[in-house]
Amino acid sequence: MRQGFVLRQYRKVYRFDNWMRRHFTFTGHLVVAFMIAAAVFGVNTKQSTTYQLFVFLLALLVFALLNSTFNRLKVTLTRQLPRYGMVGEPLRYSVTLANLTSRTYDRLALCEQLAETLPNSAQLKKFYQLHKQPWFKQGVSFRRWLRYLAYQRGGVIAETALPELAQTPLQVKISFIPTRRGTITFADSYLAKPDLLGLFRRLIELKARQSCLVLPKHYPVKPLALAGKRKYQAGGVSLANSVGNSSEFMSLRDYQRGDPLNSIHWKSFARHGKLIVKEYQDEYFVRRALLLDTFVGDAAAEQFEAAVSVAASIAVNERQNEALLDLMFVGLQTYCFTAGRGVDQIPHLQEILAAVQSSEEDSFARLQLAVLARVGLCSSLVCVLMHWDEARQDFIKQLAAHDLPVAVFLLHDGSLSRQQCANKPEHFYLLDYHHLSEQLAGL
Amino acid sequence: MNKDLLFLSFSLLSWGWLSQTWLAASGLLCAIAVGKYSSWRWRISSRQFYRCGDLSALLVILLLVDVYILQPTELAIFVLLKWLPVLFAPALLAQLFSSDQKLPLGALFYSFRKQKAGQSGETDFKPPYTTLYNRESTVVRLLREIDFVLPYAGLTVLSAGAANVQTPAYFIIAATLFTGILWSVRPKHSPAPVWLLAVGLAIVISHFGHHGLRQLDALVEEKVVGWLGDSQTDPFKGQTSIGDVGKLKLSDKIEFRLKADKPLLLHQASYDIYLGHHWAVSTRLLTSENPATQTGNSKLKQLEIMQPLNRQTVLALPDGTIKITGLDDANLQYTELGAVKASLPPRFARYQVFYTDKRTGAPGKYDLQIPKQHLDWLQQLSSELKLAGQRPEAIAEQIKSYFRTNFFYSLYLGTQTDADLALRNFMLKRKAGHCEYFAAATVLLLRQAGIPARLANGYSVDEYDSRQDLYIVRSRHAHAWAIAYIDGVWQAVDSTPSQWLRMETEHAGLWRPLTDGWSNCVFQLRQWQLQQTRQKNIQLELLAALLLSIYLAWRIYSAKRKLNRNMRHTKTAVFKLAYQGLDSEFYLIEQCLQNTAQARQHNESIQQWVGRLQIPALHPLYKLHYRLRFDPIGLSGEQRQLLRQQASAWAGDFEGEAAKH
Repeated sequence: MRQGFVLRQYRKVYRFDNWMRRHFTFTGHLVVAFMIAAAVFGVNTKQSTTYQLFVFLLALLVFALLNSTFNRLKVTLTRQLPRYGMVGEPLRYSVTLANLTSRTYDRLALCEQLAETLPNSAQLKKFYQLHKQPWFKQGVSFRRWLRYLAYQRGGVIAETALPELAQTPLQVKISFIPTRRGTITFADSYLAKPDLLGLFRRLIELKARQSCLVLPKHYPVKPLALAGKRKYQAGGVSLANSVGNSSEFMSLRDYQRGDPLNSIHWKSFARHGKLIVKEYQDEYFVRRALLLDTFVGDAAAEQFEAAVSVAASIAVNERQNEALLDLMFVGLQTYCFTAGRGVDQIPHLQEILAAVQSSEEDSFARLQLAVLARVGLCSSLVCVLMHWDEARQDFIKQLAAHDLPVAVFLLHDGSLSRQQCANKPEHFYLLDYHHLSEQLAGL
Repeated sequence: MNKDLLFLSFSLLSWGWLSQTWLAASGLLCAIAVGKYSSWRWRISSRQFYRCGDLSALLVILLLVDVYILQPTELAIFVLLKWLPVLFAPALLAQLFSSDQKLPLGALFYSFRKQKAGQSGETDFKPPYTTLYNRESTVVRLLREIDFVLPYAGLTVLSAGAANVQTPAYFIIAATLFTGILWSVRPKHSPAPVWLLAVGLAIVISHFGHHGLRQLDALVEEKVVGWLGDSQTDPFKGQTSIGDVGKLKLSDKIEFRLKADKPLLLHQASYDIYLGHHWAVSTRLLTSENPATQTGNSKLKQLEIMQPLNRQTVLALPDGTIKITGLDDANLQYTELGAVKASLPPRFARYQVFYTDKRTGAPGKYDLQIPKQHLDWLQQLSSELKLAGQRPEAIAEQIKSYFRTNFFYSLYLGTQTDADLALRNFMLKRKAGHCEYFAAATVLLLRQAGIPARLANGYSVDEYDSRQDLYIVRSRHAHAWAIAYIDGVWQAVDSTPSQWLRMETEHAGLWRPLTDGWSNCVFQLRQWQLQQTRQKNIQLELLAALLLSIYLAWRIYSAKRKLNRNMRHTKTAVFKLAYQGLDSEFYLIEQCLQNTAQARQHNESIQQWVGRLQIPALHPLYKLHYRLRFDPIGLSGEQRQLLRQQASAWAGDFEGEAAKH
């Protein structure tokens, strides 16, 4: 109840602040500041004459406000967005503005903004993990509230001052740095037109709602030298992601009970009057699995993001034409996506990673089952983990017992050292998420 | 003429003219002109700009210390306003003399400094996910630096308002400057005639508007003063809590302190007309002559009061006050009934009071007036107490003893909202109340017995602070009592049961030690201020300036020394890095193989060369060599020794082998 009241006040303050920032020009802000100062010093009209300045500035602002209600400017906006952006890398795009009136306008500004939904108490509680805090730290300050909003928005686009807008369409290049992965939505833009006196700005809404997918941040990683054997893949490359037979034809043989109907060679059946089926060549190739542990637990949200970045970096640096890559993680259910050797494109895996969310406590057990079911297919396994507890250590031991080469990337917050980690596999990389790029480059 | 210079000179000259600060204005103007026209430009870093901002802040603090502590002035805030152009001059001059001609906002707003430092600091060490959402707001104009010239001109004109020149000059100056500034920044799509029309209209409207505002202000002030007027400023009308409901609100606030020999009653005002909820004075006349005079050759008593005084205060004084010293700048006005009203600039005062302890003055016809609505119970009570025919002293004593034995002191105000009924209720039913009930009833009973009487209010001085050797008077010590004209003197007849002070002390607030502590600190400061003379102040200011100069000199000296040290370090570091490891013994091996088929080629790194040679013994050696040559940490003593020994041994062996062949 109290929290709800506080959040409502935050919303009001935020909206008022945004209104002031958007609607006044720099000169307008100065005039407002001087007006307030003149009012403060001129409260007692017998002690100073600044109240005269206050009245004059107030009159100017009222005129500016009235003038801004008249507008004849009509503009259309088209935005050319790239397909993907990446966290931490500038996302560059262009916007074309067409002036539909015959007049030339000066000192216009384009306010591009990303869509935002104001957070409620439950979202904030989850984001800041407030239930783990003592009661006196469970309040959310205005700064934290803003921080959550900024995170959820996914970036900040600076206002762009436009050159003179005449009849020819104007193309503006804009760039900003996305701060989170996933879909970022561009809300309607505003064109800010100053009034006659140059104090107050009329905001002209330009409908152009679009979205763009932001991929997790990649870091350069040296390809891993895991000594994995090629494994038999039923159904070959084309069906590597599903169950079935190989597509490489070898010979014909008599039908046996249990053979699938789609392998019957109908021409031979017509010729010989008995069922004959096609036999296919067995296929062997390298198939790697990339396992992402999505259980966050006590770890910071940044650590999970770093884990996703590590998974994305490994996926990007995989030799696409030589091996298949299975990306496995647990969300609402256990997922496995395969890419490589023409089955699917690696960027598709990046898109999936852009949308990965953290999961509940029992997720690792489910992931473990899914991996063990595919152990026979995999040549090697790369695990990106955030915890090194007994369950995870046992799992790695189990994999080693299957003679499967395993590499483990363990993300931590700087509190772990190699000596503290028991039962390390041969390829064990301890990564402090604060220094991710240096450590990945140094592998 | 340069547009900026035009605005600045116009505003500064106007400021100098209105505020009579010609010297400062011309000095600033000269400095600005030099900044504008000379070719002197310095590359000023953000940090140095911030220091200019800090200097302005320091000047503000010094000015505030001066106007609030060293030489307290009545309108300190206007002194600050008056000197704004000087206070902000460091920031403007820094911009004018800088090569960038812009002022970072961090110089004016501390929050901008923090943000910037945070951003640059964090980006290097944290993944972008955490760092980049520090900029919370959606609306970002990336405004990190501004041109401070026009805001400074506006600030100067604002500051000229402190001169309080009530002529049209200020309005003309302000309107001209802001019109000029707005004209220079108007958007090109605004048609000039429409723009001029709009601003012209604004000027006309605001011209009438500010006159209207002034009249409105005067009207509001008059109403508010009438509404808030109380006994503190009106010696002719006293309001009581008789007829109020609920509980009496008591405050522990220390009103004043005094040095006296014994506890006493300090009289503020007395009233002779009963109006129920109010008491009033029949003769509403203020004179500058003290009606009390010294009779005979009796020695005057003396006490000293230390009190923060408002613009108008009714002083609390002992009976028979003859003379007040220490309030030379105050205009003292006396009423016929013995109240003293002091008008002076608000300040902390320490004044001495000389008094006879005898209140004189003839009684008037109102001093015996009995309100009809109370006549019945007064007559009944008077006959019950058999007051008729007794001597006045005996009557007074009998009334006092009647109240003491039959009545109780209570902070509960009752439920009756009509003052007459409340007083009747107090006398006939409730028989409990606070001092104003007792005083009012006593006055009426005395009058019923034929003794002229008045209601007096003031403070009961009782709380002694042995540490300071002073009596402390709090708000809750405010008291009311009756005064009766007996034997040619007005004598106090305080019939309130004596437990009232104890009961009120029991209701003291929990925060009292804290508020008392704070009050004592302020009191000590004010005492110190009173002792300060102009000469002492100048000495103090000179001392502060000296300390500041020493500090600044030390800062400059230490900064220079640090810079030199850093430079020396950088030099040695560069030197060390460039020539590090050139004495490596690995070069002996290279020399040995120089004229053989295994010699190192020009485009070959040592690593590639050793790889080509396929001599396992050289592998650890070249690694050590690389570390010696390129690792900033270098080799440990043992490792260096190892490299020396093994490389020399290998070279020795090789030469030995070569000699054999």
